[in-house]
Amino acid sequence: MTRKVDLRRFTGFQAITWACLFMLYAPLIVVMVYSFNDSNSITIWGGLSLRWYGDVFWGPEAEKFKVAALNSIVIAVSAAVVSTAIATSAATALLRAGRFRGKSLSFVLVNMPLMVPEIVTAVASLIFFSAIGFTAGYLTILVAHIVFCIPFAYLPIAARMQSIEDVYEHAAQDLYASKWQAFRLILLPLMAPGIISGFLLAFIISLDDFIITNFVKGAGIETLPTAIFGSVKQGIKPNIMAISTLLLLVSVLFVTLSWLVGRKGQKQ
Amino acid sequence: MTSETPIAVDIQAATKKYGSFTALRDVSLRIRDNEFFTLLGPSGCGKTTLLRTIAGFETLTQGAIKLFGEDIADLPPNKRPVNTVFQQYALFPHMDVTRNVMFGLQMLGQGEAEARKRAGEVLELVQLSAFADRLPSQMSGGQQQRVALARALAPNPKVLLLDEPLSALDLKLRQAVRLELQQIQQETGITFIFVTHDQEEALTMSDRIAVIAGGQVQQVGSTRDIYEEPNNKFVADFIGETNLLDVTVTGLGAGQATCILPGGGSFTCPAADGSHEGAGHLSVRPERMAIVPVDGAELSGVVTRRIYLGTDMHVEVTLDDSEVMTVRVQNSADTHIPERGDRVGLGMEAAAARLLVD
Amino acid sequence: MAGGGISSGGQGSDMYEGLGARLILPAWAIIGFFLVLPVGLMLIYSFLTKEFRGGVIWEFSLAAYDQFFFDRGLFGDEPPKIEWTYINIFWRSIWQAALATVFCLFIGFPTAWFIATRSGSNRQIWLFLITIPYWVNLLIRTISMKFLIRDNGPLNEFLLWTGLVDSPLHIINTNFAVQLGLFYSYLPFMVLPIYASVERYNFAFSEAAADLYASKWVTLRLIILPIVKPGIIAGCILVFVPSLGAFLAPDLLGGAKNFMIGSLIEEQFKGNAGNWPFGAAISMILLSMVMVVLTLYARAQSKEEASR
Repeated sequence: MTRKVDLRRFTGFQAITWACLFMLYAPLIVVMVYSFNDSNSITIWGGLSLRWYGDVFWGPEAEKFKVAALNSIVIAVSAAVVSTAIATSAATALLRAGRFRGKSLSFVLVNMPLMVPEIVTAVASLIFFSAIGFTAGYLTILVAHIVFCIPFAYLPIAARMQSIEDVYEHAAQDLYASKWQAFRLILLPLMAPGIISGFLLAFIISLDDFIITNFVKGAGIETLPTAIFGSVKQGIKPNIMAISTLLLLVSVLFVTLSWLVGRKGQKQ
Repeated sequence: MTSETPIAVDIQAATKKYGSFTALRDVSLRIRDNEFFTLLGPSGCGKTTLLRTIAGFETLTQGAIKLFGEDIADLPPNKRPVNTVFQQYALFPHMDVTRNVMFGLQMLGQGEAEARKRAGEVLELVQLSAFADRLPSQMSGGQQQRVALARALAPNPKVLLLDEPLSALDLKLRQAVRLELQQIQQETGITFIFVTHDQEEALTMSDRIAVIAGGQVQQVGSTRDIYEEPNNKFVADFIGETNLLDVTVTGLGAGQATCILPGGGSFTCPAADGSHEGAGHLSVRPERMAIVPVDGAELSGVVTRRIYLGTDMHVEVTLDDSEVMTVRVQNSADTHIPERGDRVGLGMEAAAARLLVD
Repeated sequence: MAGGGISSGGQGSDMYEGLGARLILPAWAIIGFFLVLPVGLMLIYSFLTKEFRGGVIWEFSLAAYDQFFFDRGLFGDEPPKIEWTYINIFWRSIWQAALATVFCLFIGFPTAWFIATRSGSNRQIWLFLITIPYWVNLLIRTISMKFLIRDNGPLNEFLLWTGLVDSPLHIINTNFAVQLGLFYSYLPFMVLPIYASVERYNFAFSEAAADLYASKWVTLRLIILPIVKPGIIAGCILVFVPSLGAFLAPDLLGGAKNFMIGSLIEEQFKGNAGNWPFGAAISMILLSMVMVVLTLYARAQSKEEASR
């Protein structure tokens, strides 16, 4: 008769969690389902079809989206590479290099792109680029993306670095490795999962960005989000749902990858 | 071991401060070549700091460290012919056993084949040849410990530093590894500097011990010296068990002291260097005391507790001035062991007692 | 020093001692040059005179701030009255962000709690499921929400089909739609820090409370909530701050009547109708508000740490 009281369980919490999950996924799933709708209208269901995916690749807007997608990918890869390198260096400085002047300020600085509202960063970048006479375009988008990708790359890298005791590097040094060798042969391989997660997150963040890109891009250049936004301003069309589904799958793929890499790293 | 043996590590008036905290205070030690030397002390006493200073991970605030006569204070860890067995082993988790052991050799510029051959030899020495391809995470604690030892031995260092390497092992294993370590030290002839807080470990393995407390060296000597002739109260208390008795010293001379015992009797025994007249402490090991008839005994009291220890028995006797003394009695059929409440006398040989400084 | 020395076991020298300044330099250079400097420049711009086709004239002026707070009539010659238009937009933004935060808290806390009390691998999977939507493009998520809740969208069709309503609910272009959008955008930000706090919560406290006759809900109120408070506050800030400056949710879901700060700022930089100094001034005001919130938070946090 004695039933063990579970102090961890609160009535209703499980239901709320399921509701939460439902709310998070319902809009996405609805869009995914409607992307297969064989109808010109977004309201009327006309049966299953892949026609809007065909439209994304070969339809009237295909060229625009292809160029935008290419821009997005080139920028995201470059921004992720540069910001990951900077973040790795910064994490080493802040977690492995003892004291130096301006250290506590550096913590604030590295996380600053997270603290400043995105729209403010966007305005400031626009003003800055126009003041120094940078022509809006590829480079302005890239630079702005690098800046706000740094903290996103930094977080998993720093978390990983903190979990690696410095005794391994000390042991390497004790075994005649120079500091650079200890970094390259010991710390870097051990850091790999963190660095890969950092890179993937930075990549997604860059790929997703709309607000800052919208401000600093020039008239001629579009990334995928700005191109989609431009399209949606005239109303949601079925091809937008197809392209959204594709982009969604890319994001899910990358996060899953990052998650799996992180888990593998933890197990070691 | 004679005094002509070269000095491997010469620590001269070493002081290390972290801000206002002094971790080492004026420490001087001369560690001889080819000896098994132990730094023994409670946690936080500075022994690990001292070891890390020798390895090069810490720099001294004052003082000098010489390795076979050469000042190494300015050398970074990777330039010192000294290797460390780390407390948690610090085996590189992404490298297999062989790669771990080869690491130091490769850093010293040895080629792949040569380093691999040497790694094989060292793994042979620690009886781990069968595990050469394993990752550290696939091995037991005892095996990891031996890999760490092999890795540190592979470059054939002039001095091997061991930072509580047995603390992560369970008791049974620890006892086996002690013997093994001692054997390897004798086979290789490398100077071992061993850090531990475990006095039993120190006594069973070392040639000489330095007892450290509060950042200062309390006593340096052979295991026998440390146990039998402790310098001060801390050493006597930290190493083994002892009875400490407050006495008044009335005469000193030729390494002997005459003192007044709590019961009023006079007693003459060896005295530690630096003893002075007035209040002092007398140390007697429990196994060097005996239960004797009350009449004519130096001390007397009432048995208040008996603790059964298997081969031996501890009898606690509360003296008339309420000090408690422990006597170790052998547990055999022909020894008479007094009951609780019995009034007994306590005897001690003059040579077994020792007057200590604070 | 915050975060320092963690890896070095509290004492001794760090591995790359002395190289810190060189290693941090790239981050300083990029963020300093392309974020700190631009924000400084934005501050200067907010005190300049506007150029009519976008941009500025380099002449000191308080016009931008004046325009924000005071109404001087159509030709600028009437006695100044308080200008409520922009203050109202700010007020509405704060209110919307606060409501979204409260929604997130009420859904996010039980969710975080539930996840944190799962066993090992289940917990990882739940956590993963909650974080995935965050990594999906915000624009796409907002579009999805718009698609779902529009007047003849799937939600209304479903409600009509079930007979719960007999005419479509008008959700899109209302304040509620904006709150829903903000809630949907930032919910994972609430769950994650609370989860981190709950995960570290020691259930011996709950057992002790139960042993001392507290019911579960009393334990929640008197023991658990105070202990996991830092996580709750962190979650609230992570939702409130980006909600305050949000652009997409109000723009796509709120329509023209439900303007928030983000849209107001954007308008000042679009096309020829813009007013750069005014946009810079609004951005500065928004930034100052966020900084006040973050500073208060940092203060409270360091106080909390000091009292432990």
